[in-house]
Amino acid sequence: MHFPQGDDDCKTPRPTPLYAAAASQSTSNSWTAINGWAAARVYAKVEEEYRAASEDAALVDLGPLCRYTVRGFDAAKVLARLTTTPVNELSVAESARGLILDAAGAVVDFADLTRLSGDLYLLTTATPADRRLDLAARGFEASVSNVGAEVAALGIVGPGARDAAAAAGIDVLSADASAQGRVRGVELAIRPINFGAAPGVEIIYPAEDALVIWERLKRKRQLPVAGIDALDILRIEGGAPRPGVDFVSADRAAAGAARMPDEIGLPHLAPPNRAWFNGRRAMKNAADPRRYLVVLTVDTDLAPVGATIHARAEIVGRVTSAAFSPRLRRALCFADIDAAALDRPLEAALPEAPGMRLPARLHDTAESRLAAAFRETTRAATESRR
Amino acid sequence: MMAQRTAIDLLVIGADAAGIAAAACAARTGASVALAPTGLESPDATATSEPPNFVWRLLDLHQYDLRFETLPLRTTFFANGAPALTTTDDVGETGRRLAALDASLEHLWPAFIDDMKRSAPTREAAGGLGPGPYQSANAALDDYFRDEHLKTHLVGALLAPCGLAGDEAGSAQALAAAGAWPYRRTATTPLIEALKAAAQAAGVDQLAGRLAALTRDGGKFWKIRMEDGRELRARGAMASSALLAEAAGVRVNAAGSPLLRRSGAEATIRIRYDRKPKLSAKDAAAAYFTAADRQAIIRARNSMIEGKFEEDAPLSFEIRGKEIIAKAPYCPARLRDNGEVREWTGQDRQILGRQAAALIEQRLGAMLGTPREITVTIGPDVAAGLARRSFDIPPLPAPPPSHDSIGAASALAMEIVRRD
Amino acid sequence: MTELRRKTGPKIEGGVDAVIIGASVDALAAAAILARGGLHVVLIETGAGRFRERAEFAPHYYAADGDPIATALDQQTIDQLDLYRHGLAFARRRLETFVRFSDGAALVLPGDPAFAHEAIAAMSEADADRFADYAEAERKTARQFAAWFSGGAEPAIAPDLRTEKAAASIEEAVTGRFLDARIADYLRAEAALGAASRPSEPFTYLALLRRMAGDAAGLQGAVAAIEGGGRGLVQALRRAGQAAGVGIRQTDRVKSVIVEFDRVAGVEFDDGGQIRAPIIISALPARETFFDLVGRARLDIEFARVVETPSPAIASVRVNLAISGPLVDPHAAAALDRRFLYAPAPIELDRAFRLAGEGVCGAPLIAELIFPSALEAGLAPEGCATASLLLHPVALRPPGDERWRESVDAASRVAFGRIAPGSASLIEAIDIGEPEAAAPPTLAAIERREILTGASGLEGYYFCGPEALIGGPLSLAAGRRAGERALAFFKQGGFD
Repeated sequence: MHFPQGDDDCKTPRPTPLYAAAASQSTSNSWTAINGWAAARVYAKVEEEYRAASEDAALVDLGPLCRYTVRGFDAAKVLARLTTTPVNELSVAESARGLILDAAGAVVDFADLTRLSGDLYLLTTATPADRRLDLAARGFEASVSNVGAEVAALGIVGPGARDAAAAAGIDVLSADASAQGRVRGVELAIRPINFGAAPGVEIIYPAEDALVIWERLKRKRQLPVAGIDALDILRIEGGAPRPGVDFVSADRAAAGAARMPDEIGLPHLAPPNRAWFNGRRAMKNAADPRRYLVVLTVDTDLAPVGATIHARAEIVGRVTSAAFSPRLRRALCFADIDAAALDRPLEAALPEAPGMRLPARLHDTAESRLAAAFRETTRAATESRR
Repeated sequence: MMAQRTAIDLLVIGADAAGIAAAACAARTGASVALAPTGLESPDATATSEPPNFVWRLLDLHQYDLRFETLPLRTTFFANGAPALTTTDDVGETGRRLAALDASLEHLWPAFIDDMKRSAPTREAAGGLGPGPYQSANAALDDYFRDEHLKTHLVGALLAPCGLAGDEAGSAQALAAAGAWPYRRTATTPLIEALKAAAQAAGVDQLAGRLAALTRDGGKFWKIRMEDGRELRARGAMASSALLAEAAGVRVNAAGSPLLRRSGAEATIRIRYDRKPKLSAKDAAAAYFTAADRQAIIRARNSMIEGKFEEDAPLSFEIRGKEIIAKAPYCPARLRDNGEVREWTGQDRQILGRQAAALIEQRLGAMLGTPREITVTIGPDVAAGLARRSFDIPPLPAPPPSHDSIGAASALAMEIVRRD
Repeated sequence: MTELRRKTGPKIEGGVDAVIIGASVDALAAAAILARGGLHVVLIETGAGRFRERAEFAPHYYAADGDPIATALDQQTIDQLDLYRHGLAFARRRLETFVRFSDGAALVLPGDPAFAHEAIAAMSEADADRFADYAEAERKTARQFAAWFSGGAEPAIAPDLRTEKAAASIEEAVTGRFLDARIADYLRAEAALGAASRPSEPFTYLALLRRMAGDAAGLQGAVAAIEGGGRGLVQALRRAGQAAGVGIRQTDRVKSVIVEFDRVAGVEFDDGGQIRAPIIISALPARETFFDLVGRARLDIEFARVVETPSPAIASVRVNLAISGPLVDPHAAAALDRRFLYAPAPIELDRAFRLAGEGVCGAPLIAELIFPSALEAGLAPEGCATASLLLHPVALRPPGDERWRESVDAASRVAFGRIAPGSASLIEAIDIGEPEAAAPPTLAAIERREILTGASGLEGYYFCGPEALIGGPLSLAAGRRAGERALAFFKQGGFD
């Protein structure tokens, strides 16, 4: 899950519960609005924030994401229909990730699901899903409420995230299980998350105690806070597309711009053999992908924002988002390219130097490896059936 | 002056602000354009919403000295002392205000505005999450919201000004205006002067007098004759507004929009008080509406069809200095008493004016002074035009009535010119 | 979902290719078409909607279920199933229409609408040519639209024509077209009969074209009376089905449709018994077909929203009248084997729609009157008659609502009195049927049909319920289309 595209026409971004704490860390004062919430692009220096998040640990205000609780006898049914997550296989405290698809099988959004107790689920989405949830819950015994303003969501991202949490007395039991506990009188739910290439944990607790836990984490270890720009590098390295930037939600897409899960490189998040979910039948019957969203490396020091991708003389795609990866010492970008061009040698033409072509190579990310493995097993299964 | 036998590219019928802007925009793109007044253009339009950016750019409206005022609030007063409901140009802020009525509205309101903004309901939408193109506005609102006051507010503010009551098939299309509500407006007279100058500069042939006849010439051309006998042939033609053209007896086609069907007229009521209302500047910068509930709105519309004016018919009004300018959208064009149809008399107008003043006083109460003078004008009668239009010629294209009439007409004009 | 785990439990039946649920004429047509295609078909007639034998609604007066006349019968279904050989016959092939106006004037239109010139000339000389030209032009458009109305693809016609015809209101299309306003009143009544929107609302004109495109007894726009009424058609279809080997079962209720891996696999009954089949056609209403039998949890959210769209609050109601003697008005009494229509004045019609919207039933309404006893023997005592009156628009109310019944009763008397002046006192008994929800605007109905027949992507599931019909029952086209699509699916072997 990553933050969606910022909303430019938001007139009065709201402070998240962690805003007061986060703002005190900001020296660059570079803010944007995401889902109507104020979010920092950079707190101090992108490079340092990136280094902390990729090598040690950094705090992240995850408040701008959308959070819902779904409660009731039919909660699992509603969520199984709405999202592609394996709801029915979740034990209490387990989390799973998936997608939300429309009736045509095209991707609307990401969905992270945690089963908090028997019939209480916490759903996190990148963009608001109130209307869709309202419609999905009709006729079922389930109540949905948007809890975005009632909870603080504090992320710790990086290989040292668990240690940092443990140092503050917050234990994360295993890689998939979430935990509930109490630290200094504050009720917490802790769950593991992945932020692109970086592992992490997310701590969700009542908004009124926002600063208590923040302060405690800061006091135990001097963790820096990471803004959206630093996280953007991490998520491209990890192969996680950003809604609204790398693909457009099917709910807002113009004709031909909607994308199927396979086309954005996430087929493993919507396996067609899972219990029925919205759009599955349409997805299964859809034609073969015509375009793919892939991560490419380009040997340059600049992020190739706005570059076009060529296969010989032909333009076969365009870069949707890009960053310079300090780890790889080359530029990484998401590109939307013709399916037919995947096997051909690709080149990027940068807007600064239109005549010059730089080789662009497919790059394996954590996500693309999962997708490749999934495609392989699906193919094997189909062949063995024949 | 053009020669008789040559045909121009586009003829715009209706010389209101939308018509002048449409003619000027089409001429700017290189077409030869003539503008024909119908003679029914309302002389007392007080304010027009800001022209959209593409019209501004094409006509270089920055050259003219136009001042805009912002009306960021839309407020509906309900009957029986229910608290007034306000929506504003700030979606997030409105959502938080509405959460007091129903907690889910905080997030459903932005979702609704977003759906409305994205597009007018399209053919595809019926299988999606938004309203379908043939749905009624009431059915669409019931699908989104539970709060009755909010639904009444939206019908009263979005649909009533177009003469709709929300139960008509296809009226859901009019809800799309919620996503493109123009919050800035300017006085009409200077705007029309500016647009006329821009039209002049663009080479629009602005005809004098009024339209006498519209016919087809050889199945390919439109032909008009003005009252002074001047004749003109054109390859394309359009109406500046569906209502204006229908009132002039021209059959129009507004791409399936239900907005143009109108069996009544709009009454304008100007009430001059002895002093300015005691309102903060912020509250004065609002468009106000009065309504009881959605059933009452439908009742008022039905009474209009029957030739009566309902006492609690919804009104919209604005405050301008010492004056309040109110509009009654469901006003019969002619009155019917015991089966007898008759024209509006001075006495009828007086009664309507006093009714409206009483209604406004009831809602605003002590803030107002004493009314000094009330004038009432009844708008053009569309039904009269409907009865005498010609079926021998195809319907004339017209923009769907919109809260941004200039934008809608200009877009249509450019589309017609481009197509030919 | 029910699995096959109970081996010793209730009966599980196999070897069936297709199960058809429902008892409507469309269900019967679909079943017969599949059986003729060589499939092993089981038709499950559920309680609701089953045609009953004629009932005695007043002492010695009998009425049959369903519409006594047909304005649309799918010729292709009749040919494919050879229905004439199986007993389909017409009591009258081309009924005249006797139109009464609010001013008491009458207009008698011939059975073939193409010959209306003289009749119109008798009323308004100046309008005769005008009407003939207009009707000819619109019949041409109607023919282009006919396949679209009956479930085919939208015709490729000029977009201008589509916008003009499809978006227009009846009011807009007919007001001011004729010198004699009563001709517009007649057209308005034909179009508004059975429609949920008032004549001034957009998209309502299409209903008139739908009426003109309807084919009865091989003639477009005509009205025909089937021998035995709706029951006569049902019997012919049943015979055709039985001849092709359709097995008919009767049960009160199907509990659910079994879905396995996005495909239907059979139906289950309340006792746990099952019939396994790769094809299921449902002629039940959409809500039952999808929500009750399949369940929302297996349907797309967007699809469920369409199923759930509330029906309009406007309805039509059929009323049976016992008439105890010959009609007084010689004009109307001249022949009873006609279709009578009361065409209200615009102001009357508008008031009727307004009152219906407010939950009341006004008067006068649009009324279509048929005398079944004039078409079929033995329905009424000698010298008396039965009349079947269709009133529109009325409020959609539960039939138990006493105030509503009283107002329908009063409206029936008014309507009968208007059509046959002086004869209202002959009404000996009134039998009020259940109100039937009016049709949404034709374009909306077509769009809903397209989505519903897609069945949310469930393979092998086909729908021909009331929501699949456009404008008026007895068309059979929905059943034929569902049957044909199921047959194509079966032949391509998509289910194994």
